[in-house]
Amino acid sequence: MASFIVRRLLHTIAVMVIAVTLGFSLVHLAPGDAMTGDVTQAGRSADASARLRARAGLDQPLALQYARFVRGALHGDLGHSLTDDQPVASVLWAALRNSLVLAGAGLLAAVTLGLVIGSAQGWYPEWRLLQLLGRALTTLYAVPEFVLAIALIGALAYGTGWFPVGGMHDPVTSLLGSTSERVADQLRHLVLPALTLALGWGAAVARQQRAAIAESAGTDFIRTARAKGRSEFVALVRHALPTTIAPVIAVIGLMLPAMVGGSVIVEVVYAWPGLGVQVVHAVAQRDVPVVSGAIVVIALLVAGSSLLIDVAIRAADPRQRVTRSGNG
Amino acid sequence: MRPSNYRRLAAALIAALALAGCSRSDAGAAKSARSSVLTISTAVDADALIPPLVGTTQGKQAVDMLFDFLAEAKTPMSTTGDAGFGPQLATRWEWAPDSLSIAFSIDPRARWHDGVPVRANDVRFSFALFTDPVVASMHAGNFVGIDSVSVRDSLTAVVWWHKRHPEQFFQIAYNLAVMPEHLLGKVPRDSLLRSPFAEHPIGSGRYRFTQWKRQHDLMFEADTGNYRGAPGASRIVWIVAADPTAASLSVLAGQADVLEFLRGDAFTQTLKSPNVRAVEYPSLDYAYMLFNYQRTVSGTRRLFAERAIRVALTQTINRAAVVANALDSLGRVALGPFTRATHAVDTTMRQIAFDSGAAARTLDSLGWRLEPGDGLRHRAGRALQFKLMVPASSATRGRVAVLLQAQLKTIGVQVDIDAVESQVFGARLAKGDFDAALNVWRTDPSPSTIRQVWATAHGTDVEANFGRYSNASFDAALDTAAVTFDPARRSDLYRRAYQTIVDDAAAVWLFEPRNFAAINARVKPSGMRGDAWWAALPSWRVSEASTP
Amino acid sequence: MRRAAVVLLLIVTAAILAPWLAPYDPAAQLDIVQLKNGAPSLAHWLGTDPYSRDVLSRAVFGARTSLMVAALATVLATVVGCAWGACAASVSEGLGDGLMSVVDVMRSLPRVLVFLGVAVLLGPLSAVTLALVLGATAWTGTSRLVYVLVREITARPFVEAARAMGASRWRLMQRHVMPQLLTPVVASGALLLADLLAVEAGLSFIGLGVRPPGASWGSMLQDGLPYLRSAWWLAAVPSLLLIATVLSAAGIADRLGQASGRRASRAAGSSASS
Repeated sequence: MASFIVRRLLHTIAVMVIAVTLGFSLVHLAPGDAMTGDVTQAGRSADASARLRARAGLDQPLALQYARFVRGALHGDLGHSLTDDQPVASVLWAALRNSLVLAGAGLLAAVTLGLVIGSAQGWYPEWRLLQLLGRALTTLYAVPEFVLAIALIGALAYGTGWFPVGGMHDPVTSLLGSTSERVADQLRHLVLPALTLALGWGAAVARQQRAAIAESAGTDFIRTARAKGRSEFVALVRHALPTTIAPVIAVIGLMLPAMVGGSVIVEVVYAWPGLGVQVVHAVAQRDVPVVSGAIVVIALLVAGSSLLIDVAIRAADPRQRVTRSGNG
Repeated sequence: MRPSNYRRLAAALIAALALAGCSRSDAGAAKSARSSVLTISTAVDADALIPPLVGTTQGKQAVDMLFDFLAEAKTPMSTTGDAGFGPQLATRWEWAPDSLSIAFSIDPRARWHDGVPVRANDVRFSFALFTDPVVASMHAGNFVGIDSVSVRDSLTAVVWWHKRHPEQFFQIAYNLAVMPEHLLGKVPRDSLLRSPFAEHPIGSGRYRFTQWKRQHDLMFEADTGNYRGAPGASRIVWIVAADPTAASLSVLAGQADVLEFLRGDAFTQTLKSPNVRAVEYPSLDYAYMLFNYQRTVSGTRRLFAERAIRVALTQTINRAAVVANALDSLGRVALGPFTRATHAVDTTMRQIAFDSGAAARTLDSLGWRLEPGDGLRHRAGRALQFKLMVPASSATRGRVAVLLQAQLKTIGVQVDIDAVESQVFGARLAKGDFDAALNVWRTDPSPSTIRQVWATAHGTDVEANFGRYSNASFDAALDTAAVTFDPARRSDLYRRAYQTIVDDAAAVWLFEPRNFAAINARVKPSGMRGDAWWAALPSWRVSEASTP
Repeated sequence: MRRAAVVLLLIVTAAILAPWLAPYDPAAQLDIVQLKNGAPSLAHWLGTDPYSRDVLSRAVFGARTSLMVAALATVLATVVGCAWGACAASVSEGLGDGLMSVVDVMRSLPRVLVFLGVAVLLGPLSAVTLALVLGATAWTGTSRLVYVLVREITARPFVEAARAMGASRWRLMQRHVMPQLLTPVVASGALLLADLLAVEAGLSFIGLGVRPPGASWGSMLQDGLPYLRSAWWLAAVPSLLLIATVLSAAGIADRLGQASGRRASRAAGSSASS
């Protein structure tokens, strides 16, 4: 266990070093006028540009700059945005909260969807309806997120008018509405983007869950439980389900890096004011510090959570078995 | 999962259901609280709330609610003499016999929102603030030619000019927002924006400041005891949406009441909607392809300084088709550097017609010959090509750029589209760092301000003549018009100037948008002027009946 | 499998023959007033776009860009992945472990971060640069697959025997390892192609991909999005093409994977979406 944790920590540190280096080299490789803002800011004086240069420390040796960058990142100082002169950390933090809301809702829905469909498939492998459902989910898994998002907008936002086309809340309701109106409004805005994420991720969870349940349904333990006359449902929930929780979490851990890419695109399509939208906008504006900061923050989040997941699973289940079947 | 977890889950579900239940019961209450509030949906927040420092139209809308002018422009507006104005902060005014000064009598009932009466010294102070180089107001140029403002008595302010001209009254009454000296007088002039006043401005207008959450909302409430009477809506709220689409959706969904102007799909939607009306008001904007006369393009020094080239490019572009494609019925072909709402414009004036055959012959005769290899025109080994800068934020101009690119390609001119962020766009225009650009200019009600954009620039101060266009006969006509008092002769001179610049193909005049505001049916707008649709906003009536 | 192969073949053929198949010049604005957002008709089977360009012609030319970028990136990733994996499997265990942990570290980093970084430094990319960036970030799955397979095959008794009989390392690779690798590597390549097509389209869609006006499916989708309500075909055409291509490539990968046992898909499966 201890050696596992050490190895895992080293791995996380390596990931972080790469991310920080990537972030640093962006700031360093960016064309000079991008950092001093000559191009970006129309009204900025020469004086302000000099201050920015000094603040970015562009005149110091490379190693020192790197050290400063790392120290800054450790203290939550990621520099200043070129476009509105705000600290990058506060720009990103505001967006990150929104992203976490969406990703959290998407993940919750994905796990629910995946567990239910996967378990049913594994428990009742011969049901045709379930097989079809599984196939549909697998097909959706192959469809790029943004295509799915556009289809959902076309069908459920424009088509039926049930859901808004994009955004996180209606600005008027959020300002003048009552608390319950605001909550309802936010939930309505959350449905489509969360569903988009959930359909893609849910397929992966379902695949894992089906294999795991099918396997455990075959074990003596469960067969005994079924034979003892326990109801099917109780046998499934009491005995088969718990053993599959850890592998499902492990699958989520493995998916984390991919989930970031999906979230970015889904945020952009639905104009969800999260980190994805923020960073794509920053790319368009050539706001290097924001992009560099976002890279460090996202990498830290992904590496940190997958570390936690791995350690937790290892602690809970020493066998640490992740069943991964084929794509079928 | 252990049983206790189930219980917790059940409790959470019940809570959620209860919440959903409440939303029905108190929805009615929220609606009625909202009904006398006028909400304006916008994609851009105000930039500042101190008049000399305001640069955006959103900021201007806000300060025009908070602060008063000496006189109020009537609709339709006239900029010569004082016939186009009625009383506002000044109840009456008196011209000096030599016309070099005007004495304004301040309404004795006028009060700042903190209760202090408005006095003549506030007028003097406001003039000083606008024209102080330390403040560096971008509006300081509007006061050129005004010598000073003096205080005759506590309720009489006198404005003095060096030289008389036809738009004296307009110049002071239209531009000088009056601000409180007792609150701003002691603030260092270089740090106005860091003062408490910047966060909580106090004026004498019919609305008073309530709150401003940047990038989110700006809220004013009715100044019920105002000397000019209480306004129609109890509150005005500007709500900043994420982007223009979100802003228009908010109005279409009946959430917000007003959208400044409609574009594209949202216009069609509005026409179909029973609850939202499209209300047209005059436009003072025109869009044009701006040439950089200084630039070396396609290996030729000052390529665009040659009139024949500009005429040929204009002839190649089917402007009517471009406007029909990009704006449908929401735009018209621009006639020149002015709009159909501009004073003294002759809409039948001579234009350079679409004639790509003539354009091809001109280019041939200038030595730009088609080469079969790449289908482009070449001269001395260089292809005829230039970069067209557009702001990435403008969907319409992005669209127009692609249309122009294809049309110019047909006679062998290569256009590379350079889409840049709007801040970069502004900065590069100002620096003259472009070959050609798609720009939009909002004209002033006064025809004389065309100088800022098209008169010959002297030295480094090009004002808004970003391409450094220069035409002596155009300049001369304008200079004479500005000091001509006879209205007929004055109009004639402006017309002559307009025809000169159009004949010269100073730019490719592309379109002037037609402005339609989207306004909820429960709002009754009035007095929507081209220069400021919001000018009469305090008089708009908002009915209590809420929309479904 | 057969159906998938036919679909993929059709789309690839259409892309290759684009100049002959396209009824119009994909950049030509046919009639900007009358043919703006024209609905599908006999003259324009898939309608026209806001600039009155023929959607069918743009779709087949767009297929060229999209497929070329994805294919180039796939080849690059497969070559690099095979080389890296084979190297790691052939050197000493410690060094091999080291090489593979580099792969693990790379796989833990969301690759969208690399795209964002490249995009903010370089701005809109050319098709070749985009293919290089995609390829450079996509080879890790293949390398793990090859590493596992090579290790496993070389440990088999008959290979051990051949080695004992004095066969050179290169000969072993050629005779025994490579033939076994072919199917799983092709399978993972097909999966990678499906994946990279989607990624390329996604990047073009959010404006980080190929520079306009060159049509790609992603940029066609982006152009069509504002007209989802009034001119649905603008978004539907590239969406359906993209889905068809991705699904058939993934289907082929799946079959090949099953044919070569579970090994292939097991090692390649998790890279499908990263």
